[in-house]
Amino acid sequence: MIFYKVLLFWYRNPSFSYITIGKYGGDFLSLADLGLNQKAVVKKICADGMISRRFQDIGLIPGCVVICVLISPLKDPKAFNINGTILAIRNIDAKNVEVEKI
Amino acid sequence: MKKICAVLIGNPNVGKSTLFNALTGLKQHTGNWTGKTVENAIGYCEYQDCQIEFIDLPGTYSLQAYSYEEQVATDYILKRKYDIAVVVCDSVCLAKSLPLVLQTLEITDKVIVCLNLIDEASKKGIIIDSYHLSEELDVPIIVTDARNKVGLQKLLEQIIHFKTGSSYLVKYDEVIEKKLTNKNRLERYEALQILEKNDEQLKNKIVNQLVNKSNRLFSKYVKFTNEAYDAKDRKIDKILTSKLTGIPVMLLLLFAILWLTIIGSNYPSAWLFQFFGGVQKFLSSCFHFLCFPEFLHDFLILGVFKTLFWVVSVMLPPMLIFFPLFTILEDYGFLPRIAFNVDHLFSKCNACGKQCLTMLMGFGCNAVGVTGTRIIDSKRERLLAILTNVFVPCNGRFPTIIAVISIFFIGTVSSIFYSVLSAFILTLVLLSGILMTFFVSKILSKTILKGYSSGFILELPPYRRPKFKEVLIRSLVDRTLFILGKAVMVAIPAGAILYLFSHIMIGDVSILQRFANLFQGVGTFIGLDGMILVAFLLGFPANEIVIPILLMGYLATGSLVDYESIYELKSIFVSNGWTLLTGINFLILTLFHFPCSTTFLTIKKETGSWKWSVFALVLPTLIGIFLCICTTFLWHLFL
Repeated sequence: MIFYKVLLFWYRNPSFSYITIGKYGGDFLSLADLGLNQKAVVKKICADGMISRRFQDIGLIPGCVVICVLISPLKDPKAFNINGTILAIRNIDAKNVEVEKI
Repeated sequence: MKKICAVLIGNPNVGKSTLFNALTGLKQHTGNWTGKTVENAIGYCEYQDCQIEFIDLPGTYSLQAYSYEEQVATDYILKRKYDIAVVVCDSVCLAKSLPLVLQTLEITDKVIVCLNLIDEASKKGIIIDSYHLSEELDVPIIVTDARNKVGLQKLLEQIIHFKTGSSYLVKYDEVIEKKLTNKNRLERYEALQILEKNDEQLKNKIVNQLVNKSNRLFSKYVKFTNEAYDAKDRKIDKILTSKLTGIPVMLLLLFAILWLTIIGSNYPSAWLFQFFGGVQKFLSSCFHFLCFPEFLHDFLILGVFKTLFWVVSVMLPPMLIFFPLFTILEDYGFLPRIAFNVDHLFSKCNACGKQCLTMLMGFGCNAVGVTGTRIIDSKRERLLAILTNVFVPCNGRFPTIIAVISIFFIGTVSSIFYSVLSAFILTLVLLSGILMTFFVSKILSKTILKGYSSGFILELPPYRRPKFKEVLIRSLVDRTLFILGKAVMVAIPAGAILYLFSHIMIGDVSILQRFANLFQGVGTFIGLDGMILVAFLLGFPANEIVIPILLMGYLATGSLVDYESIYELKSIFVSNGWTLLTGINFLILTLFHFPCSTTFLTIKKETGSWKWSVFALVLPTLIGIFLCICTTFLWHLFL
C-alpha cells in the first residue's frame, strides 16, 4: 500500500526528487526547493530581522499559497506568484521559508 | 481660495506617478518597474476654486521603514501635515495593496482609496466589488485609470468634498487589543509600534493578523472570472527568462537596439553636419559683411559655434533613437526581467540584483543612476552600485564611442554589414563595461566593502503595452532635450575658453599645446598622446566635449579643415599620429575614467563622504590607465 502511494506520488509529481529536500540548508522542504509550476502552502518562516519583515510586507505569511512560476536562467533566483504578484526571491532567502506542497 | 494638501501613497509600481502627472500636468518620470520615484514630488492642481497640493511619495510595501525610499514615505505619513491621504492601489493585485490601506487607516482616518489600473483589471477579468468594500472600510473608493485619464474628476471631487473620516479600525485578537486601550487613532498606532518593537513574536502576530484581515477582504470582494488571467504574461516570461532563451534574447535585444541606433543615427548626423556647415558659412559671410573684426569672427564661429555644432550633431541623433527604444522596453516591463536573469551574477559578487536596474539607468546619465541606487536597501550594496555605475557609458560618452568605432574600426563604407559589425563592437564595449562592474564589485566586496548580500526581493510587474505617443514625447522632451540642453550649456563656455586656450600663445606655442606637451610623456607611455589626456581632463564638466577639445587642439596650429561629416575626423586623427592602438586605448579610457562633475557631485550627495567620492574618481581612472598600459604593452610585444 505504501509502495503504491509512493508510486502515485512520483507519478503526480514527476519533477519531485527527494534529493532536493533540504538542499539549501534546513531539513525541511523550503520555498527554494520548489520546482517550476509547483504549488505550496507556507508553513513557517524561520528568517529573522530585515528579510522576515520584507516577507511579511509582500504577504508571505504562514497559510499563504505560493506557486513557483519562473526560474532564472542561472537557477537563482526563482519567481513566485504570491497573492497575484510575481516576486523574485533568491534561494538563500527562500530556504528560510518552510512550505508544504499541495 | 481653499487649499487642500493630498498625499499619494501606495505600493511600488501601481501608477502613482502616472496618476500624479495626470492630476498636476507635471512630468515626473514614470516606468514599469519598482522604485522609479525615490523622492517626494510636489505638484498643484486647481479644481472648483480649490487649490490642491499633491505630494507623490515613493512606493512602499508597508509603513514600517525598511529602505531609504520607504523611510521617506513613512515619515511623511506619520509626521507631516496633510488633509487627505490617497492610497493608490493596483486593481490587478489588490491583495498586495490592501495591507497598506489598512495600515494607513491605523494612522489616519482621512483616507481615500483609489483603485488604479482598473482597465488592466477588467481586461484580465478581475471584478472588484468596490461598493461593498467601501462600505466595510468606511472610506470612499474611486476607480481610476490614470493612463487614460479616467476617473480623475471623481477623485478631485471626492478630495474637495471630503467630510467625515473613516471609522474603520483593524481589530486584533484579545491579547493585543487589551494592550491597546487608547482611543485616539495615532496613539493606538504608536502603542502598536511599541509593542512590535519590544516583542518579536507579538510583532509577527500583529503583522500576520493584519495581512490575514486584508486577505479576507480580498477574497470577499474580488472575483476572478478568468483564472488564467496572467497566462499571456507568463508565456512572455518563459521566452524572456527561460534557461534556453533568456540570456540570448536579452543579448540580441541589446544588440538590436545598438544596431538600430548606429544605423539610424548615421543619416541625421550627416544632415546635421551639412546643415550646420551651411549655417556656419552663412554666419561667416554675415560677419564679414558687417565688418566684424577677424578675431571676433574666429572666436565666435570657429570657437563657440563649432563646438556647439559638434555636440549637437554627434549627440542628438543617437539619443533620438536610443531613448525612445529604451523607454518602450522600460514601460513594457522588461527591465525587471533583465535584473531577474542576471541576479545570480550579482549575488556571486555579494551585490544586490537591483544594481542591474541602476546600471540600466546609467545608460541615460550616470548621475541619475547614482541617485537611483536608493532602491537598494543595504548601505554596503548601495555603495558598490554607486562606485561601479560609471562603468556604464552614459549618453555623453555613448556617441563618442560610436563615432570612434565607426571612423576607426569600420571605415567610411556604409553598408548593412559594416553597421552590424560596428553594433557588434559596441556591444562588446558595453559588455566589457558590465564585466568590469562585476569584477570590481567582487573585488570590493572581498576587500574594503566586506559583507554578504542581504535579502533581495524583486517584483516582476505585469507587462503593460507602452503608449507610443507618450513614449515619443517623453523621451524626446524629458530626456533628449534636457540632456542636450545641459550639454549645450557646457559646450558654449567651453568652446569659448578652449578657443582662447588654443590661440593665446606663450612664446610660439599655445596654452593648450603647452598643457599637452606636459602630458605627452605619460600619454605616449599608455599608448595615447598628451592632447587626448588634456581633452579628458578638460572634459570633466561634461564628457560630450572631449572630442571637440581634441579637434580644437589638433587643428589650432594647422589650417582649419571644413569637415562635413564625422568621417573626415579620421584624416585629422591619423595626421596627428593616431593608430589602431590609439583608437582602442581611446575607447578604453572613454569607458573607464573619472565620472563627470555632475556625477561626482551626486556621488558626494548620495554617499555623504568626500572619501568615497574621491575614491569613485580614482578607481575607474586607475583601471583605465592600467588597461591602456596592458594593451600598449601587448601591442608592442606582438606587432
